[in-house]
Amino acid sequence: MTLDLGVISAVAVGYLLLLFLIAYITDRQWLPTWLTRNPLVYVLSLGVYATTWSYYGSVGFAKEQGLNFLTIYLGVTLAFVLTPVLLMPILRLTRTYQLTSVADLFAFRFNSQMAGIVVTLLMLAGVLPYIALQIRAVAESTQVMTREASPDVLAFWFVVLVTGFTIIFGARHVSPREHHDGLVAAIAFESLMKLVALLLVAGVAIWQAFGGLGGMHAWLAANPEHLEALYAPAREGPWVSLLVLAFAAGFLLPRQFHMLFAENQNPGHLNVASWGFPLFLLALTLAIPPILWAAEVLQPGTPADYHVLGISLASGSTTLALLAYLGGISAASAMIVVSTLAISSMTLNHLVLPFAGPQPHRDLYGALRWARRIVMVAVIAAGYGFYQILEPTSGLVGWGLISFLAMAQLLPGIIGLLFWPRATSGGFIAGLLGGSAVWVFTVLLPPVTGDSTMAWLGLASAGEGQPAIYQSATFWSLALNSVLFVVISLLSRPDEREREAAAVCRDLNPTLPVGDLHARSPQQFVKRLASVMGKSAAHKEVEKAVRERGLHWDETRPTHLHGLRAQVERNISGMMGPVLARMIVDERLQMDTQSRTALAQNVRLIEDRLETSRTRLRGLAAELDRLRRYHRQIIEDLPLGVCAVAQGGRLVRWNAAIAELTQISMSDVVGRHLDELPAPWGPLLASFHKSDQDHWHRQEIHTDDQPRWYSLHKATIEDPANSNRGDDTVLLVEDLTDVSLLEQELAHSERLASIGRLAAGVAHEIGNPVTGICCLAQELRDDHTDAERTAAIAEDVLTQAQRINNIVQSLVRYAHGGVGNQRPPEPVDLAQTVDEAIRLTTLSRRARVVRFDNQLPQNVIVSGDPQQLVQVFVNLFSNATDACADQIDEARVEILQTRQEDDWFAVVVHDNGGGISADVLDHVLEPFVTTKRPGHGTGLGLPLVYNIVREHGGEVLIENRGGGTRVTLRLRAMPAQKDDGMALDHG
Amino acid sequence: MAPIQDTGPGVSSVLLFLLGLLLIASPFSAWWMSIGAPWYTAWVLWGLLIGLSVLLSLRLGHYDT
Repeated sequence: MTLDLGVISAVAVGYLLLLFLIAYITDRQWLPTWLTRNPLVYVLSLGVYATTWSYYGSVGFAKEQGLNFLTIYLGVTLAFVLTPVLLMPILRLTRTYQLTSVADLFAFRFNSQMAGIVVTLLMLAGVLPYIALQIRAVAESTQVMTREASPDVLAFWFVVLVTGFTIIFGARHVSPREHHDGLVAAIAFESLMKLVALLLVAGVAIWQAFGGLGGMHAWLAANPEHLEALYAPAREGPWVSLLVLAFAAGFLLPRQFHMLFAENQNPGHLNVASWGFPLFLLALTLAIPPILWAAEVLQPGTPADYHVLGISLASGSTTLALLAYLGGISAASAMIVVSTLAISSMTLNHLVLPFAGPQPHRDLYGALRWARRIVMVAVIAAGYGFYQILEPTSGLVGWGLISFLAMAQLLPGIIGLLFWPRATSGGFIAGLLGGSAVWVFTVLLPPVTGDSTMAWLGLASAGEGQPAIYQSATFWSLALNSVLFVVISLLSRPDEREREAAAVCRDLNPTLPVGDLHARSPQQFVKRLASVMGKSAAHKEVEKAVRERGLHWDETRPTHLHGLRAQVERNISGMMGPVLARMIVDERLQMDTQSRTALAQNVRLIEDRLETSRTRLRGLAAELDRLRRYHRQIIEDLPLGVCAVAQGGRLVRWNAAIAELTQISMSDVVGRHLDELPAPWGPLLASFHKSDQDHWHRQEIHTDDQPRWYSLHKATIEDPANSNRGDDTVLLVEDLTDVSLLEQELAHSERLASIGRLAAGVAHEIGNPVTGICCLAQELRDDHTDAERTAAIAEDVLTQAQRINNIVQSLVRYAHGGVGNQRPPEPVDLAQTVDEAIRLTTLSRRARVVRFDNQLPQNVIVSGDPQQLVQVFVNLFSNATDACADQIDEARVEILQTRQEDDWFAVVVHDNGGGISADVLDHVLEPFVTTKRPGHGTGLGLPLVYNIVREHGGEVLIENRGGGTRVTLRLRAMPAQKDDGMALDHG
Repeated sequence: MAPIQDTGPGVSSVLLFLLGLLLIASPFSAWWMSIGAPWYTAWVLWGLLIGLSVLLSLRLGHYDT
């Protein structure tokens, strides 16, 4: 059975248009995301590995080389088994640093444009004949289907359509790093097509030739030579060499690298592909031996390479024949599209842009798109040119293996990239050139020119038989490559950037950025990049990087700007390649090498890196990381606000407690200057940081119209490395609001207790004037007094009433003073305050025997709360009274001003009591410490004195002097009154 | 007794790779090819390797990727 060329052409074109449709509706997101982003689609898209060589040529390969054909898939399986140590690290690198091709990867690792160029040239040399092979397979398969002599027209239009598809769906984005959802969906569909077609053909073949699987096994038992023909070449042939080639091809072929890494949307998908893709290949290859054996029985009259088509034609089913043919079209078109996409990216990044460079006055994105399209057309045209000149002598497998051996030359480099930081660009390039030379002279040139340069060295060349020569070619090329790679690497030294890239590739921490950037904001990034990329492109790239880093345009924090710079470099790398990106960024976004970056400023960067590599830490490193986490957690869990300020005044640490106190989250402040923080915290912390005091007590801050009190402390963090740089500072913020409120409650209680203790005296004190008033009233009632006497009595009554009123008012003021309300400070005359306190104290009967001698001059003015200061003296006088209780001599309390220095008054309260024993003296300011009998003292009097005086910015000193207790209060003078005070003092 | 340290998926994958080499690229493979084993033997061994890869990938899912 044959088919008409017109029908074949129409079906082929229709099928390619179907691929257009699939890609289009996927790009338009008309298909559900769960389908287009499914890992199954990713796995199937990797099926681009199976080209016409696999689809058609495997049967011919199996006929010639038995089970050796399976090595091409088993080698891939071995590579995918190593996903965690081989593929995943490469994926991590390509995703992080926006590397789009294998040439980008090596250029990045060796920081060498030359490495990128050599790899690109090798890939071009290896892939162009391979593209030609696909075109040839399409032409030959059409010839098999139609029995017509000249399928070149169809081959031409096939190439045109595939080129159109590649340009439309492969050059949609400026960066090839952007995912091509439509293209991936179309390639996945093609893989499914290949698998279904091949399995159907195999099923039909088994049924037609043997009547079922049982028949096939019976046939094999009856013809054991076929089983032997399957095994014998594998036992004696280049089994291991082919495994090595396929191992390399599995992830280094440009199309495989592109689909595996550049089109990967989720690392988890690679995890699924580690077994899903080998399973796909297993199913695909399971069809090959039955088709081969069925062809032995059915004798379809086609070359072994096209038994798939021959059997489908022999079945008499046009549908099956067309399906089998479309499977071949799928294999060829998928390979050409993806290979062209990958090769064009390499060519543009490493052969075109380094020499042309971006033009700032032109539309960079438009220029890149057009350049990529032109390169795509050139690549496919070159493949078509190869097809025209390629001798159709060797089977489909031959050129495929030539390509595989070219890719295998990258194996030493990839091992060095992942596991050997000492490898240098010189070693890599030398090894690649040496291995490539063996490849050129043993397998590439001989089939084309008949060259046998290597024969005199005793090396087999391709002319002597396929594919046995791959055993020696693989060994010698890789051996020479590896030896040169190692020896030259050991003889040369990597530069700083190369060492840094090597550390990155080995997932070690690269050098931390040193110095600030000259560009201080994203806007300045745009301005500086515009001179290279043009204003529009520079703005879009910076805007994209700002968005990806979650920053704002007003960002000025150095660490965030460093991150932004790295992100910009990565994004440009995805567009133009890593070497050019690094050049642009190094040139336009320079570091200020004069400025030094504090270690602490990089704390967050280091911690981020540790977090991402946490599960990979082992041994001592893991223990150190646990210790680091423990120490960090201590700071985080402290119920005390902690913030650390690096030299330069930038915040590097902001723990959970301070975030809660200030209602400012850590992410908003780290990296900022203190004074950039919102009020009231910014000004407060900044002024405290600048002050020469280490402690600020009881700072009042109003948040939500509520007063809160905080104490601030600071300490210097000494540099453990003792470097010359300045020290950092840690600030502690202690919330005293609850304590302050409690203290106010206690003070109030203490006042009420004092009033209780004074009650008897108060009664007596009020009783006397009341008695006087009663007497006067009695005199008015009983005696007939004249008008003058009546007026005198009335005056006396008023005087006595006023006396009562004074006592009551003093008590009321004393009782209500300072309960939960903080009055603004006002000028307080100390002498009057002491008099008021004496009046209150002497309400107590015990105090009446004490002589209070207020020697304070008038107009000694301090700033404070008068009621609180009254309480200070009342407490001191009460204590003095108690201390003088057992005094035989006259009990006496002197209040005098000893000296004034600068802004300070020193007021002394000195009694002639028994003093305080030495063991109690050290603790006398602590709450609940008392020497009085139970029920006569709360132990809160002196702590209250201490707190009030500290709140007024003063100090309290208690000592035994001259047989009694001497309490010295240092109080701050009212600024405006300072001179007056001094004058009085000296006066 | 010192706790057994989790070696991560890397070591497991290398062990699986070595098992793969044993099954398909060693004297063992030459042996099963020479004793007239059923034609699908290679696919059975391949399937075994894939099955173990599934288990490894399930474990890999618990690690950073």
